[in-house]
Amino acid sequence: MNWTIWLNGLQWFFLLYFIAMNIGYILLNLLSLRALKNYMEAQGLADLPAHAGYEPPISILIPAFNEAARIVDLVRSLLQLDYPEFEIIVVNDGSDDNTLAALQREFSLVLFPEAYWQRIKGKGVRTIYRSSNHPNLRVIEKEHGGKADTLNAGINAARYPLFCAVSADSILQSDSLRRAVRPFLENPLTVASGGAVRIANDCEMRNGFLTAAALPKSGLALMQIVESLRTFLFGAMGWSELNAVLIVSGAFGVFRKDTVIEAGGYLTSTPGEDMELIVRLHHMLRLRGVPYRITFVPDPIFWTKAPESAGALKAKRIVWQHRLAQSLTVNMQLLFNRKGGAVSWLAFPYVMIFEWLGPMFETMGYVFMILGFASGLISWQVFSVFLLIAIGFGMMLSVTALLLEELSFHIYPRTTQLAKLLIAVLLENFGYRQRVSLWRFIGLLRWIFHR
Amino acid sequence: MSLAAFSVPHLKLLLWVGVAVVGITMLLLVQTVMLRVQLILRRRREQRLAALWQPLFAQSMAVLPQSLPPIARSDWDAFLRLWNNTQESLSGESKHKLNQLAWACGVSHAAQQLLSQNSMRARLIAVTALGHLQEKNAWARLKRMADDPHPLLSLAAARALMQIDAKTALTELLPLFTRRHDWPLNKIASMISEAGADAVTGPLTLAVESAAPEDFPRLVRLLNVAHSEQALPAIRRILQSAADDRVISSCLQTLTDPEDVGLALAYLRHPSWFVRVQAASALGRIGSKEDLDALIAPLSDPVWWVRYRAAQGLASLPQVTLDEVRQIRDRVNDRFAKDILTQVIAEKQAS
Repeated sequence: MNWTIWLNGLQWFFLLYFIAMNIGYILLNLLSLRALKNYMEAQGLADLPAHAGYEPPISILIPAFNEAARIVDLVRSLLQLDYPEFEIIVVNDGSDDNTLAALQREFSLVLFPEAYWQRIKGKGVRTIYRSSNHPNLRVIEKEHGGKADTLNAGINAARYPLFCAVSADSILQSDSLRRAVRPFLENPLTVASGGAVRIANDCEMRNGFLTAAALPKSGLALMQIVESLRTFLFGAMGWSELNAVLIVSGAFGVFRKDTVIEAGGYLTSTPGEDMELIVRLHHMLRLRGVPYRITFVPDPIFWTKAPESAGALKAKRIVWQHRLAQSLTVNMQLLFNRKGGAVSWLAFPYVMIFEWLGPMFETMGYVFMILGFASGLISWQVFSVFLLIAIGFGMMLSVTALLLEELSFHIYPRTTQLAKLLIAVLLENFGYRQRVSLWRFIGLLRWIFHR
Repeated sequence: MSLAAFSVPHLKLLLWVGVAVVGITMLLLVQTVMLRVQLILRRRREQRLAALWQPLFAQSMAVLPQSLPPIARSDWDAFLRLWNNTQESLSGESKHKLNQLAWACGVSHAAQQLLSQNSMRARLIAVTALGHLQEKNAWARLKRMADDPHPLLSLAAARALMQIDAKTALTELLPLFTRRHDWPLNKIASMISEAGADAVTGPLTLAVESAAPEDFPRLVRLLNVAHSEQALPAIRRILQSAADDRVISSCLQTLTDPEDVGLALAYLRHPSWFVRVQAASALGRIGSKEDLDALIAPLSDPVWWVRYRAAQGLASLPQVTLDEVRQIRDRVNDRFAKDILTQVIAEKQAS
């Protein structure tokens, strides 16, 4: 019968999809391993005192919309960054809370008659202030235009050749900027560098900086640590080795200003402006045949509080999937482009199949197998093999990611922390991973039906 | 009805794949735990070594200890790292005294043995140690390593050569400074400044004079760590005859002598905006009140950076007061010139 052939084919498809996806991740981890080895060797030498210094000046941009509660603390901590020369530009995106008032009160802002150079077009800038206590702090007050427009205004006002976009919920370490800028020092072709998000729940903080990492008490946050190690951290490190990293958290990234201006700045029509910018930089530079590097920095440089409730995490993953879909579809010309190299022929198709559409196949695979088994269409042997492969590969990947972490940064130094993580990498595959796939699938559906 | 989707061999194959994956996962788990155990043991060993040797390092600054404990073969890696890090934190005579202790411990022999290892990390440690030790016997091997395609190893070897004999090393390394674009300029500058301006000024100036236009900006930036006044005659000659924009722009950045005002003035109307920017900056740096009028025209330049540097230059000319700058702002008709002067006045007031 026809439907049996279909069902048979589907069984094979889902099984092979799971195998292919996990083999892809494993290959990425192997690439990461090589990259990490080189990186850690370089790290050893770069940390010697004679090799420090000479960092280029940098403009730190903070887009702020109704951030009265946390903006002052963030700026105060950024002012203490361990970096030779930097300026901070807070761009207030027409907030209707007390963001501006809080900044004015804390940093003694005075009106500053700046000859604002609008290299990227955007909503009108109303006023520019400068702190009388901190000459390297300016605040731009503009009409509400969204995060991308706000960042573009910051780029227009930036004085230095590099800029760093920092979101208001960021938690940094005092040396975060030094680490993020290192790729620019080591390779003059670098146009952007970004790091992975690390989870800050229950970590030790002092003066707004993270001083000691700790594991969160919340199980959900703990699972997100494992997830971030597996997908965002060592996956990106592998792609970085091929100069094909497409997904970098935009919450903390350093960019060469002129290249971003040349690319037209952040795109205001997509919610995933930070992710999209990375893809567009690849797009522009690959197609022009310009040599360049977009580097992923694996160091722990940027931390954020992870959601501890399922509802909040679900919302976050839905938004993430939506943003990913946007940034890929806007740059679809890059897919299988003759000039696109590893980005067009490896990273883009991989991200499309396993990250963008992946949650759909993963969720449907599980649903199909469970329903098939429950209805007796799929034998218990086939069902068991499917679970063994899907969960076995998942565990293998998570353990590999933890192994890479152990080979490199040892962020969690205590033995009890390692034990807790070892348990988490195994448990993560029983429920958490599947739930995240489902939420991302919902994000994908929402993008399809509401774009 | 059960769907007989898989033949028994297929199912068996997939089952074995699954079992293998789970088996590998367990091995990886064990490996992770082993790594942690190794890390703990290594840290303990390092702490033990540091507790033993750091007081001896401190003592050797005054007088070389009479007897030194033997260093086990397995401890050499950690010992050399400790010794390298201590050397990096010292300067002058103290470095020399720590070297005496190293000679007594047999650091040279151990480092040269590590140099032959396959591990890049071990070779980096050894190269760094041989540099600090100024071990002339390692010169030939280090020279070969300076040509290694690996940027870190070659750079570390270049630094070691500079530490051993800066003048001789510079003649070997100058072509590499321009050719090796994988060597970050800041690291080259760092090793040059370690050697001291006296040692590097002469060879660098000669290299600058004969550099190709594409190499010129890189070399000129290194002049910042040399005695730039000694290089000035060469810079002047180049500025008077240069045709390449990059060369002119780089030379203008090095001008510090008021006698060279004429050179800066000559480039204020250059077609390349980045030359005009540097000319305006140079004029602000070395010009006098007499040059004030020359900086008014660039205030209306189409490029923001030229306007900004001209305004900054104008406001920083000696004997030019803020009131005079305000008067100029009120006098000029161009809106861009007014705006940029207003900004620079506000900056001056705030600083």
